[in-house]
This record gives sequence, structure tokens and C-alpha cells, in this order.
Amino acid sequence: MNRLTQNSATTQYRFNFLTPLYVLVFAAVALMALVPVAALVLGSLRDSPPGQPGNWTLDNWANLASPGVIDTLITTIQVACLTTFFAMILGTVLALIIHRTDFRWPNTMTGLLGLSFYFPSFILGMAWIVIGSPGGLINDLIRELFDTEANLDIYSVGGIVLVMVLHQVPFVYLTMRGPVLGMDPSYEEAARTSGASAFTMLRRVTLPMLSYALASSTLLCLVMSLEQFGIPVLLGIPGRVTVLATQIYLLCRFPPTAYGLAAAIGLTLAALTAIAILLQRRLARGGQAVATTGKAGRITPIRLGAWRWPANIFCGGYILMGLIFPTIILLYTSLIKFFTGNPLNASYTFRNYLSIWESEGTQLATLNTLLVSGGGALVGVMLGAACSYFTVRLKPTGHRILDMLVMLPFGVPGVVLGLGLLWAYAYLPLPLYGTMTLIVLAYVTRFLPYATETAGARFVQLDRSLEEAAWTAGASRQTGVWRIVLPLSLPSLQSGYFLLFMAFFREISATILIFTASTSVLSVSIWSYFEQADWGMASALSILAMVLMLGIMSALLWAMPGARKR
Amino acid sequence: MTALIGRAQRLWANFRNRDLPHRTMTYIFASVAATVLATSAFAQASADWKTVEDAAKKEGTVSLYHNLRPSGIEKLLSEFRKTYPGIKTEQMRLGSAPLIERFATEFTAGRNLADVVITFPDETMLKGVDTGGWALEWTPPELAAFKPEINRGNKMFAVHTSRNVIIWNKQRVKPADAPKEWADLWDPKWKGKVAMDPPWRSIAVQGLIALWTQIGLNDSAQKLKANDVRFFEGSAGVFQAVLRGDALVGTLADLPLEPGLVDGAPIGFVYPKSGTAINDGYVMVPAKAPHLNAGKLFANWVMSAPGQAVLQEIGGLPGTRPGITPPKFVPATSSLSNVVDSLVISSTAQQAQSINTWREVFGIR
Repeated sequence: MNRLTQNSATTQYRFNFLTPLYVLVFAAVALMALVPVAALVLGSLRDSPPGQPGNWTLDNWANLASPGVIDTLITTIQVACLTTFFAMILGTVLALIIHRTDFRWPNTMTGLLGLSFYFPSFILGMAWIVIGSPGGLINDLIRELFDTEANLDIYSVGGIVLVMVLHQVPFVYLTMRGPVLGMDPSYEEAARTSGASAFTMLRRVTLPMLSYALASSTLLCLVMSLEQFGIPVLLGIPGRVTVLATQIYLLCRFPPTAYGLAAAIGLTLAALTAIAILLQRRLARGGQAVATTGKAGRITPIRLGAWRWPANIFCGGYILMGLIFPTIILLYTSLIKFFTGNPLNASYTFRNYLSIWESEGTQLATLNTLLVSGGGALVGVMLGAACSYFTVRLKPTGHRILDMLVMLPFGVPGVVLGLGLLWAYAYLPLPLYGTMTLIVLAYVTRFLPYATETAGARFVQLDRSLEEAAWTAGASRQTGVWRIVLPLSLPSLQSGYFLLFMAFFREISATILIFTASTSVLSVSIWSYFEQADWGMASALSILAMVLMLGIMSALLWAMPGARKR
Repeated sequence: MTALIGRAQRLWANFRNRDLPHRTMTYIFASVAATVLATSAFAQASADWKTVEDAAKKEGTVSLYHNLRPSGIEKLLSEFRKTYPGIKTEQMRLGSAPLIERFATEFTAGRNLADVVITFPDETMLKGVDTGGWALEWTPPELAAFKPEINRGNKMFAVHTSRNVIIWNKQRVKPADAPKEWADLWDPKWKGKVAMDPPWRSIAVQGLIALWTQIGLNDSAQKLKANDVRFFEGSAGVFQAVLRGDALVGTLADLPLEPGLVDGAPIGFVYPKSGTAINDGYVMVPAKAPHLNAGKLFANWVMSAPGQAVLQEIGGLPGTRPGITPPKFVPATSSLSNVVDSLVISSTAQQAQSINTWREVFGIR
């Protein structure tokens, strides 16, 4: 770290082709990040919808103190904190079982958890409505078996937390996996030799060693829970459990719209997530310093012994609830004419699949999704790599501002960002509204940190002397980047592309307010079917989207060895 | 035209030279003149419509904004494409209220993307159509086949009608317990078991709330909150919730009812005797449609006999064109009692007030 700092201080940044590139990248990122945020700020200070005559006002901000908004804020924080708490416990335990014990199927579990990570949240929510709603399968089963009315209700805070936890666990697992694998086992060995029990070792050695990673993962999980849109909307509206993302959606989707209030609430939510992100970045930097000490030896797996079956049931239970049951439910609902809890009484049909096959709209949405995910991810990874190169390696004047601009939209919940983009690009004299470019712009703006973080992590590890040696040998900076930095960073760039592709593929919240007839994507099509309670079509399209996603994941992982490292 | 008039004059002269009664000759002349003029107008209209068809083909695309059932829309579009091959179709489906909101935003911003719109209008849309320049003023050739009341100033044309209805799950509700009237929805025996579409999402519900007030059922929001009503997205959402058993009874606009009953869904229904609020679904060609002729072509096709038949089949609602075969399960609007038009009994101000009241009662603000 010190060496890197010294290098940075001694390497002077001189004008070359990178200067105009830096200006271009800075301007692009600034525009992408600031335009929607500025639109939101302006919108929050107006008493009329965008484009309509109106006056400046602070009423929207004053309305944040209304009982309705405060109740919603409290509910949002409750749901987010509970989700984060349980997801952290489950995800960390999964990571420890899979990678620190002699668990027998670590690779299979990692693969299945990876699949769960890419299971779109609102599809998971749909499946759990069928399983856990008052008329759902579990209640039906209890009623049939015990002839009594069961009260399991997924349309509740508990239900929302359950499904959000199921959705977040793979994220926690993936963020904890690296630190768990990278732990120095000598401390645990020492504790074990000193006669510490497994629990004492976990409490006194393992968890303190993971503290930075745990705190960092907790904050990221909290951010994702705060801005979660699909699950609270699906489960919260019937149960009258309103979180801020739901409220924003309702205020700006249904008349009489209250755009100003929606913008004020959105900016408040963005501020909350921004604080969490800032803390996470500070922690991540601290953790990075500690983690660079290296490992003294190979990890000795902890023997599960009598805990083997509970561990197996725990891991299998998660996969059943988070992946297998929902998939089976979707398959079932895609094949029936109308819902019945008893599959033996159902009236089966292939009409949903036939309808999708014949649907020009679905074909267009599929093509759009592939274009946006494939092309957009390429744009995102290139821009992300350029940003990281400047913020991590060259550090020219203003690099901290660039870093902040990249992160700024990440703290803005998707549905709020969508609102800002709708305002900005519907009214700005730019030919972007109603084009695929706007959708790509929205996705890249929202997920650019995925690319900067993966590329940046690699750029930090590359010693500056490699590039300097090339310069000393007469290579230009351009050649240095092209021949040294990019080849050595290729696995990380591939990993960034993979992450962006999958994030774009399943994205819904930022798109829901800006899609048009010609720019609809698969996630929006599924959402539209669900919104109109066409469960058969929604499920059939979800199944097809999942098959497509699985195929693409396999192809990408095959073509990009670097992506397998995530 | 000149030749035809000349021929009529010669006929008139011939008749005058014979000893026919003057009144008879006048009738004959008037009939001939009317036939000539009608034929001429028809020929002119046909020629004009041919121009529209040719221009539409050149435009090549029609973009439909609608609130029809999503699973049926592909069939509607496919039938249209069969009639007019070479014209590609795009569609965006939203609930009626967000659809109007989206159209208004695009119109205000000058980002006009819709070529034809089918939805249930609210007061905002009516204002936009009547005085805001939203809609093209024109006469679809098929208009002649409809009753005059479906025509709103040659700008919007009613193509089908939805009616509010009460439904219940026949597997979980005994026939004797089934609700018969709106007030039954706030019977405590249904506490936590009533489903509805929230009024901020649907103009049909706003009309229903206005009807409740009209027939003396006041404070509906408070009463339904006390009865722990559950909101589901759209009429289809309510239908599915009742079918699944998440709620046992529900109120909805009857869009999903006929298709559900055709599938054999175990759903009972009643249109209460105290009355029902109806909403006409209209077709409109936006004045600034990017493919104006294609929009006209689509709107006219939806009003044609084949278009109405498909619309009724996929939309589940009775069409407005006289003479088309009625739906199989749901009754005709003419057989319902105290039918009131949502737009007549609920002004913009009332709609806004009603939504705000409901939002406040249910804490959405």
C-alpha cells in the first residue's frame, strides 16, 4: 500500500492521449450521474409535474415530516435491518460451512448459490405468493391435512423479510466467500491447539478476523435492502405494508401523481443509502490493508462430525426455498389455465408458451434484452475500466470527484433513478427518450460501480513498475495500457462484464418508468404480465428468461475464464 | 360528378314531358339525387380511405398504447396484421391511469410515440381530448355502423364497456353466504377476505366509489379499512387473488370475468341490483401520432365487425358495435339495473378527492 502511494506521488501525470480521454470520461460520468439527480432535486422543489407551469416550493420537503411518510420510513428501515440481520447470519454461516468445514459438496453449493444470486427478485416474490399467500400452497396443504384455517400470510412484514432474505443470502455468501477463503488459518490452528472449542474459536478468532468483510457486506446488504423494489411492491401492496420504494412507485405511477413528493422521498432514500455506501468504502479500504498480509499455510477444514446432517439440511433447505421450490412453482403456474393448489385438479395447457412463441412483443423484448445486456455491459465495462484506471492508477486532479460521481447513482434506488431519467430525458432537447440508448444509459449509470470495483481491484494489485518499465523502454502510455495493463487485467474485466451482463438482464426498477413500446425488455414484459395478474404468461416468460439466462451464463463462463472467479 | 348531375337533369326533363303526378316525379327525382350523392360520397370516402391505407402501408408501423388484457393483445395484433400485412405492430400495456399519465407526459414533452390509444378515459384525458389537442378529429368509415353516443366529437370512439361486479370463490363460499350487494363487502364476516383494486390505480374503481356515495354508502374507505380490505394490482389481480383464495370475495371491473369463466374458473359473480358503474373503453388516434395513417387504420379496424369480434373475445368485454354476438357468460349491459357512467358521476375534482381520501386512510402519503 505504502509502495503504491509512493509510486503515485512520484509519478507525474503529464499531458498525452490520456488527458482528452480523462476529460471525456469525466464529462460522460458527470452527465450520467448528475443529470438525473439534478432533475430529481429540481422536481422536489416544484409544485407541479415536470413540463407544467408551477411554482417553486419547499412543501414537498416539508411533507417528509407527515405521519404517512414517517411511518413508511420506519417500516423501510425495519424491513431493511431485519433483512440484513438474517441475510448476514445465513449467508455467513453458508460461507463458513461450505469453505471452512469438510462439507462434501462445496462446488455444487457454490454453483447453486451463484444461480440463486441471479434469480430476479420479483420472480422470487411471485413464486412465494403462490407458496405462502393466504390461499397459497402451504395454507392449502394445512387446510387439507388438518381441516383447519391456517394463518400463514406472505403479505406481511415477516413475509417481505423472508423473501428478501432468501434473495440477499447469495449476495452475502458471495461477498463473504473471498474473505473466508483468504483467511490466515494459523490463528485458528493456534486456538485449536490451545484447546479452544469450535464455538470459542468462531467467536474469538474467526469472526474478528472477518470483521471488516462482515461490516462491509452488512452495509452493502443494507443498501440493497433499502432500495429493494420488486419484492416489497408485490408482497407489500396486498398487505398494506408500504416501504419508501413502493411509495415512490405509487406516487409517480398513478394519478393524481405527486412527483415532487416522490422526488423528495427518493432523495431522502438516496441519502440513506449514500451514507451506508460511504461507510462501506471506508471499511473496505481498511479491510484491504489488513487482508494484504497473506496466508501462512493451507486451510485445514473443520470437521463437521455430528453437525454434518444439520449442515446439509441447512444448505439444502436454503437451495430448496430460494431456488428449487420457486422454479417448480413457476413451471406449474405456467402450465395451468387457472390456479388451483392441488396439481391433480388443475387444467393444464401449453397456451402460455405458444402465446409467447407467437408474440412479436416478446421477441422484441428478448432481442432488446440481449442487445442491452450484451452491448450495454461492454460499454459499461469499458467506461468502468477507464474510470478505475484514472482513479486507482493515474490519480489526476479531480480523480476523487470522478470516483464519487461513479458511486453517486449507486446510492440512488433504481425506481428513483428511473424517475430522474424520465424527467431529464423526456424534457431535455436530446433525442434519447424512447430509444434503447436511454435504457443502456440508465443501466450503465446505475451499475457502473460493478465495473469500476472489479477493474479497480485488479488495477490496485498491478505494480506500477510494470508500466514504468515499459515507459522506460520507450513505450508510450497508450502502449503501456494496451500491452501491460489490459492483458493483466483481462480476468477482472471479464468478471466485470459478466456481472454487468447479469445485472442488466434482470434489472427492472430503473426501467419501469422509462420503457416504451419499442424499448421494452424481458424483465418489464414479465412485470407487465404479473401486474395484470396474468400469472400463466408471467410464469412462462420467467421460465424462458431463466433458461435463457442459464444458457448465457454458461456461454459467458465458458468463453470468459476470468468470470468464473466471481 | 358533373355527368351524373347532367343525367339527373335529363331524367327530370323526361318526367316533366310525361303526365306523371308532380309529387311522384319529385320523389323519384329526390331518390335518384340522394343515390347519386351517396354513391358519390361513398366513392369519395373509399378513395380517401384507400389513400389512408396506402399511406399507412408506407409508414409500416403502428404503435398501440392500451390497457387490454395482456394475454389477448397478441391475438388482436396478429389479426390486424393478417388484415393489413406489411404493417408492423408495437404495443405498450399499462393500467388505464398510468397509461393516461404516460401519454400526458409524452405529449407535454413533445415525445409523441403512440399512434393509437385504447383505454378507459378519466377527466384528465377527456380534457386533453376535448380542448388540449391530444386527439385527431376524423371520421372512421366504420363509425356509420355504430350508435351516435359512442362518438365523442369525432375524436374518441367507445369500442367496449366494462362494468363493476362482485365476485367470490365458489369453492370456499357457500351459495347462501355469497354477497349480493355492495354493502355486503363491509360485513365483518369477510374481514380480511375482501379484495379490490385500489382507486388510485383504476378509473373504474373511482366510478364505483362515486356510485357508492350516490346510493348512500358513504365512508367506504374507512369501512373497508376496518374490514381489512386487501389491494391487488388491477381487476385481473383481484380475480386471481379470489381464485387462489387469498381473498374470498372481491370487487372488480369485469375485464377478466368472461375469459376466466370460459376457462372454467370456479368464480361466482353478481351485478348488484342497487346499481353498477360502467366505463366505456375508447379508441383514439393522437393528433401528433408519428404514424397517423397507421393509427387511423388500426382504430377503424377495431371498430369493424371482425375487429370488434376479436376485441370482445380477447378483451372479455361486450363490444359497442350493434349486431355482434354477445359474450357467453356475462350479461349484457342493458340487462343490468341502475347503470351509471363513471365519468358522469365523478368529476376530476371528485376523482382526485376520492383518491386522496383513500391514500390518507390507507397511509399512502
